[in-house]
Amino acid sequence: MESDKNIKAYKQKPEGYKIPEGYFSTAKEEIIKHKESQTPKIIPLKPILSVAASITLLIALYFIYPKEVIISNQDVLAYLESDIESLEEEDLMDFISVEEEWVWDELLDLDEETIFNEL
Amino acid sequence: MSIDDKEILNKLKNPDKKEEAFSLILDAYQERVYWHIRRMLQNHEDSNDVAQETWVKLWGALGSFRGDSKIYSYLYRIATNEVLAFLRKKKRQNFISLFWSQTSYEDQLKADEYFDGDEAMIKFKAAISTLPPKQQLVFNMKYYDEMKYSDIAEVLNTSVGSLKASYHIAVKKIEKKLKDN
Repeated sequence: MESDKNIKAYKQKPEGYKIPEGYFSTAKEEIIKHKESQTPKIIPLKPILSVAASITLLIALYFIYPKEVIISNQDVLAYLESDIESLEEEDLMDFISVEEEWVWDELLDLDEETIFNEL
Repeated sequence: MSIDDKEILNKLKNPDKKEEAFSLILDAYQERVYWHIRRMLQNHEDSNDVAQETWVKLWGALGSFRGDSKIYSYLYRIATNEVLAFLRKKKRQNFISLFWSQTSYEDQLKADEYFDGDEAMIKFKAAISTLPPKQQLVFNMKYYDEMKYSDIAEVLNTSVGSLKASYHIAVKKIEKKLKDN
């Protein structure tokens, strides 16, 4: 080979690698003895199952845990307004106060916590 | 020693003769496979471990061997994959202990009880070791094992053209390294 003529000399020299005496016959015996020892690649089920269980638990908790139901003034107002004809005096008072509160909230543009604290 | 692939295939068709077929392959290629691995890994202990693993893998794979490639190409491919897997693992370990131990390649060879090459050979081996693993494989298979490009292509699953280029580059790099030294 033209390209390796400069390094060809190294091929004539001993490489310098040594092996223990009788290595190949010992190794052959070892190979024959242990050739069946290949452990099948088992997918580690334990960590997979624990991760799956954690995810399932988190999903279950998400659905089970009671969620905060937020009813805005606007919702209350819409509900009262839909049946305003049949409202009793007490309900009408509620309607007015809710409407006022909402208007004030709007005007002040404040969140409920701030309004509550300031009041 | 070479073996008749047809004879091996015939034996493999009979499950009772699998052991016999394996033994024939082992007798024919044990040394070649070991030296193929040793030239890549340099030290005997690692080479012995990887060689053992190669033969265990071959035993496991023989049942599905259909003779689409030559047995020795098939075996070389297993050995090569095992070598590359070992080197990847070693690279990860070396990365972890990056600041722990930094011994030069030459020093490692000099300290190896299973190496007694002279200074020129140490430099030559050190130059080869600077090549990327796949280039080292191509170089070793061509230079030492004198394999045909078509056979190397079968082992490394690549084209003859890229192998020729790879070998040429490897030789140039080694020569430059030796000249610089």
